[in-house]
Amino acid sequence: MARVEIKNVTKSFGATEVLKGLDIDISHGEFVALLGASGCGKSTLLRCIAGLEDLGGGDIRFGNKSVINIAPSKRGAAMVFQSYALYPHKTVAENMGFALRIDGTPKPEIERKVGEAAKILGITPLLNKRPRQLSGGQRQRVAIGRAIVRAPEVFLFDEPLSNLDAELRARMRVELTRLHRRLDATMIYVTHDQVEAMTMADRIVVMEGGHIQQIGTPDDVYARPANIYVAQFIGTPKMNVFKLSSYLHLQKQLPSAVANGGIPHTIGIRPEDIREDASGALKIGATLELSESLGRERLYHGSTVAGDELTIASHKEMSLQVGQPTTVSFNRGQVHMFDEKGIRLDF
Amino acid sequence: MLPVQHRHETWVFRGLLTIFVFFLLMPILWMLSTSFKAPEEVFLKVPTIIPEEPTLRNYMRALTETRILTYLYNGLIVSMTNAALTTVLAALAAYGFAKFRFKGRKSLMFLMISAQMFPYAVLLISLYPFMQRTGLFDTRSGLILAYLVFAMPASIYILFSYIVNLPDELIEAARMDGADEWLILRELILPLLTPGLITVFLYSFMWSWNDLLYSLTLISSETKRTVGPGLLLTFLGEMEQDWGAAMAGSVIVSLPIILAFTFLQRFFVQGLTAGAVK
Repeated sequence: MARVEIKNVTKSFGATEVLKGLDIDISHGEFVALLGASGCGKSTLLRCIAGLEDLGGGDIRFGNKSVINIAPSKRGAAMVFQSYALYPHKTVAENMGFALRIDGTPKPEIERKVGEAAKILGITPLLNKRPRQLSGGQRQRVAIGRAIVRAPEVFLFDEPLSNLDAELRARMRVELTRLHRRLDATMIYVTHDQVEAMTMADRIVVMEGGHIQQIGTPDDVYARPANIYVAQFIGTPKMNVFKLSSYLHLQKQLPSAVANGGIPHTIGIRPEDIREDASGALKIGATLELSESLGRERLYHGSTVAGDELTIASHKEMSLQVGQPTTVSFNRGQVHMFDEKGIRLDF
Repeated sequence: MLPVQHRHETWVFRGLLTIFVFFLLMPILWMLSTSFKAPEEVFLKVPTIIPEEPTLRNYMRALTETRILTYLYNGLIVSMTNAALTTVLAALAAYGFAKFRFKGRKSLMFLMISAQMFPYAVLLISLYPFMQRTGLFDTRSGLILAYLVFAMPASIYILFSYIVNLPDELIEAARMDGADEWLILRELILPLLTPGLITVFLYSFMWSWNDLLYSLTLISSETKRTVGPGLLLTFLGEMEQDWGAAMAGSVIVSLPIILAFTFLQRFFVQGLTAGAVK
């Protein structure tokens, strides 16, 4: 059973601390996405789990066994790299069977395992080709195949879809999700793309500046962001955030304190939760300056009377005139409240 | 059609190129031509380019009446060993410098490369007593060692430029696959380094094959002499100058380099320009 426990893991490069005491508990068979902007430490954490970086402190356990002093190849983990890292002078079959050959697996057994993995990924006709003869998507499959043949307990993916075009990325997302179900293995997937994280992961770990901001299911991090960072990082377009002190009429309509004693300081509203008219309970004066059509929906960008940026996402063509002052509204249940430190308050 | 000014520039360019090629090829042409001339034709007041009565006598004389085959044998032994050793050692050093982080890495690399800054002849002054004291004077091993000292810096640098451009992820993928450092070097780095290895091999081979100064100074026995000093001392004495046989000998000793270049020049050019563009 490959439960992965990350306990108080720290890591520094010189004087720069990149992982600041991280704790994550990943169950067997779970698909966990490490999500964050560039430089948040997500890839470093994955490399620590793989054994490609030494830890500054803390422990990483696979099952009940600490792996921090075990060589990368002996940990029972296989990694798919962002650049695929296929050996250019070896054929697809040789790439996929390399680890088994080093391991001393008999040749017929290597051929059988490579054949099986190739069948799962639909790359059997490519086995005698070299990486330079393959398309991006095919290389991606080979890289995954190289991981599969090792039958690892834990799969580690380092932004594996970032080099693919949008259409192929969407297709590979579905394939990877299917593969996860089929293999029933623990998967840890690094990405900066929230769509990948939201669509594929059982749980998302949102990271920023070497810290974990929130761990939760995709629905959880979207509907109940733990803080303003997560609230604005998850969701496209990002959540509108207003300081309550600039909207005294709203302050009166919202609770002045919540159950745990927190005092609301900032509120957040998702663009799709804002109505283009005054029919909602909470209203704000606004001026919309431009609109963008995304086909299925239309985005309106403007500012509120207090000068805050405002984005509205609407599925219908709005009747309001761009550039004219108007009133927009939302309901209380759609408001996310945060205290002065940006921490979520539930009411 | 090109504008008039551009046409003029083209002609000037072609003219300059012709002069350049003439000076480059003339000595070779002269060597070939003289090697087929009879002795009396060599000293004609109005020299001929195409021999009036071509003869192979110079070649016969060079091969049978001199020790040129011994010089060729010695040259091949020294140059091949030097080239092989340089290639292997430079590959190991370059891999270390390019892909491992250790204390003093940059200083050590600078130190190695800086050996290139010293004039070739200056270092001979310190190498000479060293070879005498260590018993390496007048040995092929000593000569190989001396060549190694000079071929290594540039060779390390050439291979370093190659290896540093190989993605780290390739090596990490191999580590994840269970390969140790030797296996990574053998199965991954060296095969991908082939053009660079050929470049370094050719470079160090040519370096030692073409050398005159070191071989002339560090080897005193006739039987251990390599091609450069061998040709010089055999054909160009104070009293006698047998230009015909000297040129025939020059053609013979040029053949290994010409053959090597003909087969491997594609890699050599690739190797020298590697890393110039991303």
